Amino acid sequence: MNVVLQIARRELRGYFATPVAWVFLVIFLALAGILTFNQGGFFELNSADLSAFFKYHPWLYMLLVPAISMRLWAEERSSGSIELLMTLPVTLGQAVLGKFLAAWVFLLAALVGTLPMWLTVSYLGEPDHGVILAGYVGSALMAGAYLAVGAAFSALTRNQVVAFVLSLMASLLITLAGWPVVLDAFSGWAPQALVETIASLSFMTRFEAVAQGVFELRDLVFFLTSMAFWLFLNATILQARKAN
Amino acid sequence: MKRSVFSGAGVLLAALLYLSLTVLSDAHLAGVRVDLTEDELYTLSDGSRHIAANLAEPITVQLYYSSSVAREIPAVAGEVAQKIIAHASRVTEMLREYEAASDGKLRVVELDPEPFSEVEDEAVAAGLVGLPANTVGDRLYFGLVATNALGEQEVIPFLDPFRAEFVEFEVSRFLAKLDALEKPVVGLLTSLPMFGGDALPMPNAPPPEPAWAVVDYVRERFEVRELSPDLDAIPSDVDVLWIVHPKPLPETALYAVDQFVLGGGRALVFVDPHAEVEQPPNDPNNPMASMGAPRSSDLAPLLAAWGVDFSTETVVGDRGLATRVNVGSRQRPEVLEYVVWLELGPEQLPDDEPSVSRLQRLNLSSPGSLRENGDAGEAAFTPLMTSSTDASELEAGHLRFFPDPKGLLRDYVPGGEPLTLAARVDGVLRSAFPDGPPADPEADALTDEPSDDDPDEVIDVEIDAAPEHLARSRDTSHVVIVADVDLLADANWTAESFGFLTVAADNGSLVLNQLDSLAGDPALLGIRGRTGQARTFTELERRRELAEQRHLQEEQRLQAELSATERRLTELQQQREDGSSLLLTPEQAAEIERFRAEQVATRKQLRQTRAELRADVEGLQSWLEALNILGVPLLLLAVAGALTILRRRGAAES
Repeated sequence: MNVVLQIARRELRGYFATPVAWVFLVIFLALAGILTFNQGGFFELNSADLSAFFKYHPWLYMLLVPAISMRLWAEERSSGSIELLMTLPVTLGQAVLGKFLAAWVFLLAALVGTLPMWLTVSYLGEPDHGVILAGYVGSALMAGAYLAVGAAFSALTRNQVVAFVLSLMASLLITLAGWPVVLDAFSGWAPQALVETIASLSFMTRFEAVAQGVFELRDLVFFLTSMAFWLFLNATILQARKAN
Repeated sequence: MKRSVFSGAGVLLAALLYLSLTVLSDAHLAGVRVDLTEDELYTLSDGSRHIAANLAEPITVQLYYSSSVAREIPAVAGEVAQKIIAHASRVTEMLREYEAASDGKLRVVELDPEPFSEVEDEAVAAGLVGLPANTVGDRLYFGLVATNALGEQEVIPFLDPFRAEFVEFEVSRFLAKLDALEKPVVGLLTSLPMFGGDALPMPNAPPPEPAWAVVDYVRERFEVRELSPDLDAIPSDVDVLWIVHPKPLPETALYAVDQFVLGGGRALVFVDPHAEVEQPPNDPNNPMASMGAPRSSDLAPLLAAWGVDFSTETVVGDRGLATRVNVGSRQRPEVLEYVVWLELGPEQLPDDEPSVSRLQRLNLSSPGSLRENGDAGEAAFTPLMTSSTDASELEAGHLRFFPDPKGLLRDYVPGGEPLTLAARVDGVLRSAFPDGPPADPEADALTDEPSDDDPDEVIDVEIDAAPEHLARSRDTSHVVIVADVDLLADANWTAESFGFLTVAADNGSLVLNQLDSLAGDPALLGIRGRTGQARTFTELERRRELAEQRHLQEEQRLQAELSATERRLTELQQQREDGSSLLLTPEQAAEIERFRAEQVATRKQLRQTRAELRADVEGLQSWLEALNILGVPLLLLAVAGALTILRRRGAAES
């Protein structure tokens, strides 16, 4: 565990050495704000809650998380530093987990940057703070899930742009898993049980349920197992490439 | 080479594990949750559990939900559809929790009324309403039908996701209703037409006045029986006595109530120093008399005996809780606070009283105040509704004839203490008739002498029939007194939309809660009143109101000036038309120009005022928007800039 944390710390420090991290944060926060006030109709709704804000999180993550995840493994592979990493006395699992944690903490920092929204809505009225807390917790978990998906795809290719595009596509599919757009592809031939299972894999639906204010154990299990699965995939791909 | 777990076969296994874990946890971890909402909207309350656990007979609940149609709603309408889908899953789980708590007595059946299926026909026949979901005309159903062993049914035609907080109450309510074999009996003694009018036996007669909404509301849980003021005893099967706006009752009736309460009967009493809802009888010879007549009610001497001081001459005004009304005209609105129309919120209700603690909003009109008079002995006086500390006692006389909002403000002297508007008295009470039953006028008629100076004779006549006189409570007595009758009127708590009455305040719940708590069934108390008022941007609303206040006077003045100017202009122009000459004199022309200029200037000022009205709020909005969008980013850029400079300086030095 200590090793994992060390890796994570090193990674995280590396983030802020380049302008990429700062640019990402600025874009994320500005975009979240713009969407909330303009598209989300924050003032027009006249409702002391952050529903107009959380509504866009799945889309924000879908779009922006690949920008972070693409750098996790694709860069290492093209620069050759992955071999260096592999020769260090760390296991594959530790490396995967360490890099993931660093990226996740970074995303959480971005979420923390949105706290002025919570302050704003508390000033304007009396919001249900429990509901907002649930929204933030759900969003943090969802961010981790999107990140894990992106990490897996970034291990697949040397090119960061390709990693970005692939992650984006995959995230889109998963986000829309509960929508007819995706389900129609299956509903024709698959048994109902399978269709419903696929619907239940949607990050967006789960997040919206949590953002209502109720934090269910099964939603927590879902997000954690999603992260575990995609990180496992991540490690497997790296292992396979390493073998070559 | 060691075989790593990260292999192709491993991936397949992992995928299977992922899918199965998801499916299994969805199915089996359904109840495990943390409800973070402050209103506990998603947790089944103890009251509901109690009702479910104590069901005497089996009840079946059929939940009709078109899940197949719901999922296919086009993305355009996606948001509402998502809400319905989320609400559907919540309600389904809530029903499962009821089922689990019911120990087998409650059975929940989920049905999907697919288009053109028999299930759909069943649903429609039961009274469910479907929403049109797509262009083909498929309907989305989401309602439920509960049936008890006797075949009685309760139906919720459509579970509105925007009224999610009411679902638990409605389900518990009809479960209790279906379960009760007999409803408790409420005896209603009132001088007001609360039961509605009788149908006139004439053809083409206008429909009779409907019963008051509060009576219908209470009837869902209780049998409500009308009692006459001429009664000489409360019927023995009455569980709770409900007295509303009693005009001076005959002594025999007062004695009956007195003995009923001392004997352990519960009472809910509504009195009022000025009941706007009362229509005093019209005397054709003296029409003004009815307008000036007092519209009060009192239950003296019983209230005094119960330790409560109440006066029909004082009305409570409260600036802190006042309703704002328009005392001008539509063209010239003038908004004032009408201090006797009160809007009570949770701060005016004690937290530790279950019968009121969950209520959110009560509307009162010209209430009186209650005080302990110190004569109650061992009885406890518990306030249930209070005013704010900015309340004043005003003379009820001010409200007769035409109410004078400004006059009320003139006499306003806040006492600094909250006044009690409703209270409960519990304990051992003493009779208001310490000497025994009052003289019976009918018995007097039999004798030649007036009975007043020979009470023994009257008692001799009565002594075989009368029950034992109680001078004190047999056990403990419980009475709730509310110093406002108007809160029972439809106008103060319901609103009509599309022919249906909707609940706008908790007045009805207050009555039902009190009757429930007095009748002894505490289970429903924990559930009712979780109306969860919408949380709005109160700060913006406050600023808007302030701005309105500031600018409305100004706008009225300018508007008046503008009208005067325009009138003058038309006069001048008419002069020109009336006159024989077709040309204007220079003086006339100059005058017209002057007035035109004034008109333009006044209009401009009006526009400015109106703009200023919005400026405050819009300015705040823009500022908040900028702060949220740019605030942290700018901070980050500053930090990044600073770090870069530090680093460069560090690099330069090395």
